[in-house]
Amino acid sequence: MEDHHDPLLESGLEELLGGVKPPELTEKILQKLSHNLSLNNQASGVNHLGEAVSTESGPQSPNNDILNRPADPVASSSHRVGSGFTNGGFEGQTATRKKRSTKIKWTITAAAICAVVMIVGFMISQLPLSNDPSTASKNNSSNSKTDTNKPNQSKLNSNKTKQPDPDSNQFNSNNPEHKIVNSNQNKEQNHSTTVPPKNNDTTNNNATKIVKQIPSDNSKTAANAIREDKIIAMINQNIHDGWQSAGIKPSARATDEEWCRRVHLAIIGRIPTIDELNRYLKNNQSNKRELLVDKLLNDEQYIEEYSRHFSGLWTNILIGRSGGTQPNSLTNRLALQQYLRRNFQRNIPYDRMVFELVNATGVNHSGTDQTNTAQFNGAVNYLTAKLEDNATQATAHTAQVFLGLQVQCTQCHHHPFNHWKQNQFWELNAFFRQTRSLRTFNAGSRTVKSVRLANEDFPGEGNTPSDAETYYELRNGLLKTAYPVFVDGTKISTSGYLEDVNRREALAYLMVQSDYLPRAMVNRLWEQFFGHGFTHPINDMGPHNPISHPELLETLAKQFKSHRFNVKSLIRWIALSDAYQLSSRMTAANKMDDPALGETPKFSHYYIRQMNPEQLYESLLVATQTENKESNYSQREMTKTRWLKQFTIAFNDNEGGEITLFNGSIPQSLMMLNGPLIRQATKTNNNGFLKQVIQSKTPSTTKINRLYLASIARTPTRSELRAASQLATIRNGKTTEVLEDVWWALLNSNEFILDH
Amino acid sequence: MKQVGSTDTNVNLVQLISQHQVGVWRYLRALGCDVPLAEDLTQETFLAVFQKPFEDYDPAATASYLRTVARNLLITHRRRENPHFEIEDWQQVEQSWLGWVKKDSNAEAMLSALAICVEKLTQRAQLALKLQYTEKKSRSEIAEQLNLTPDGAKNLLQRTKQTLRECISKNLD
Repeated sequence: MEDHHDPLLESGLEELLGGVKPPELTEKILQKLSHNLSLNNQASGVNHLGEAVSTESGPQSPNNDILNRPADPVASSSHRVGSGFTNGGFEGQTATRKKRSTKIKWTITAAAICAVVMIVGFMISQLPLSNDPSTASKNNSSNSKTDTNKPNQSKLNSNKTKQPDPDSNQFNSNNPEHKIVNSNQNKEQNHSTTVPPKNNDTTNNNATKIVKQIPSDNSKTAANAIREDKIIAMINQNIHDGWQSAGIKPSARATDEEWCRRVHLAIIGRIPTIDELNRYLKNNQSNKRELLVDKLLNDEQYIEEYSRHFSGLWTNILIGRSGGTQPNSLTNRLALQQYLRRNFQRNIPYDRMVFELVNATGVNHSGTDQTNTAQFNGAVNYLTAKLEDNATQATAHTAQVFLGLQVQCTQCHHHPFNHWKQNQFWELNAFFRQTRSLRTFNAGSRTVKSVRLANEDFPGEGNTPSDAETYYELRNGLLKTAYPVFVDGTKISTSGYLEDVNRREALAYLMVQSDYLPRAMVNRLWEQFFGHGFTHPINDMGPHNPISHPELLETLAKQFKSHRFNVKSLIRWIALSDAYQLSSRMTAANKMDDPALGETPKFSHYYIRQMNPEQLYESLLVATQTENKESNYSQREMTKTRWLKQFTIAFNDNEGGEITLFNGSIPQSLMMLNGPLIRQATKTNNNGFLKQVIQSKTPSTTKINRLYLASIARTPTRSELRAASQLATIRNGKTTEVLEDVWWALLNSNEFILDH
Repeated sequence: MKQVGSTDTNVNLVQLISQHQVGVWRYLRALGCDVPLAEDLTQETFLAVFQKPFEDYDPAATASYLRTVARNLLITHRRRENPHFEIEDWQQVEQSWLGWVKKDSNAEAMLSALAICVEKLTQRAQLALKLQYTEKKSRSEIAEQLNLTPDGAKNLLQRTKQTLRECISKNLD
């Protein structure tokens, strides 16, 4: 039986049966209010008539004409200038005035300053309101409302006392400081989020009609799609022009061994086996690099590895390495991975994948329940854990990952470096406000059994579903409204009824049709292959962040879109470009091309970087042949996840932040040097690769060669062979031990762990 | 449109507090506050709101506003001890509140419906509730008294509360 935790019912029962009755607090509140007001007045040094008063004055005395304070406590609290309160109906008690020991001179100066501020504030308060709430029509909501201040706020802020304002610090952005007037005669007085039936006059003439089309659904390649060889030529030309204008010369081409290893790591996420490497090296065809890329992308034997590699990458991008790994997580990591893996297996167009992720509904766990199984949708796991705190994380993450826009700082203020404004964050956020993560708990516990991602009518924070607004707070404490507006300014219906507009679906369509999407993906994939994108960071594109090759990015993005968002095509163009063939060895002519020093990348040589943890894991398995072939996919992934866990710390902040600590720290070094995976790999009492090499009836030199090829895809140099023979001397000719030592050293070497 | 505190209005602070204080208190209790904290935060809610002139456009809107203020004050209070505190399920509470409380911002109708629904329960179910809420017995004590296993007592309470939910919803519709 599912356990629905119902705090409202619980508290009701405690009141009804437990005898916990609500207290009568009117008197206490009024007393405190009166006390606060009197303190305010004392601080401002004015009396109720706005006259400066001496704070040295003692208790009221008949001879104290300056105070002019009557004995009546009600009159004495009347008309606090600047506080905005009048006496109407206030029945506070006479506040006890405290003695102050400041000098009259300072008192008069402070009083004069306060009086000036209050007079200015009073004058501002007399200005006519720009939006008279009594005549505002809710059904004529226009997007000018985005900039509309709530009435009666701004003029009063200048009248604020010096007391800390609980509003601005404590209220989140959804706190209406003042209720938006509802003068619509037809408004139903129903404030339940079983949202009232909509009126038929909920039209929004300013909304753009959403074109419900995913670009890649058009089965024909677009007319402006150019041939792939021309695209590759265009990339080469563009990069070459960049070298020329920077006055640098590219490095030589990478060796066949280096390139074979590099492209295996990039496309299928592991180093090549010895057999794969030898097959490639023996191929004499002039287009063998092209053939290898096509093979890794399209051959049956590699599809699973390709899809596993890319699904792993995208799982980390979408939910982080720690997503779904904590107890009671709302995310089902394996389900998301499965969804992504199937997408990459079938080479689903990228825009369709984005549409499905952003617009997903359903249950995140198939389980044993028939209903759940029918509604199971792995894609929902992208958003299930991002909807707390009014979906701010969903907003920021979606913009970052799919549009290349970092907007999370504009949640609280305008972007410091670009033109993004705070309202744009909340307008994007408004698209997510019909979405809910509904949890089902295991019977008798608080552990989450499954999560349903669903869309519901959104009543708006002002409880007017036909014009469902959200509120956000400016830094100065003012509240503003926000309605759904896409990043390019496209406005949709402001209604919160699903019948009128499914906001998340509309967002998904707008995203896949925008130019931000292909640009962000091209930038991301370029970075994946080259180590640096056209911008740094890749998810912060904008005028504040210059693009290293703007024309190239633009053209590639257009062609990616024209070729129906085919990810494999994009991979192919990048992998076969001239720049990707270059060696990682810098020369004197291009050593200034070093993005690590802050230079704009020119791609004149391959940028060396560390493998990511997933690549390292897979490469260790391949090199050592220690994989348990009997384990199924899930078991295999769980083993991998456990190994990878040591490298990630999740911040548990509202940005979903985490850092990957795969940086050569001491624990990691120890894990590499002495961890169970390496220990298993360097044992000779199993059927691993090392044992096979040892037992092979080949000369020692050949065995050493095999170890080198298997681990770092090259043969040893002369000095390395010399070192190995010296080792043999030290080990008294015991070949097994020599090979164990060499193998252990290779697996722990920088060259193994680097993508070069 | 009424501005609280203005000389032109008949609405005064007393009326506003009287109208909404119970609702705010009950809402804070539903968010998990104990009685003293709920009392303190209810007071602070009104004090915070009355820092500036307050325009009471609509009772339901005012109630919604006060609930938001109260919730934020609770978060601020809790974050003094735990900077990462978040109210679990506050949206669920808000939805339940709006679903049951409707126009009656003090939830009196809901309480009345609850009382009626409790009367309609079986004797055994009423006894279980009384043991839990009036006598503050633990689950194992309730099980012992009702001659059930602890799981059985838990199931009985769950079913009873589910029945109450359905009954309240029916009564309030």
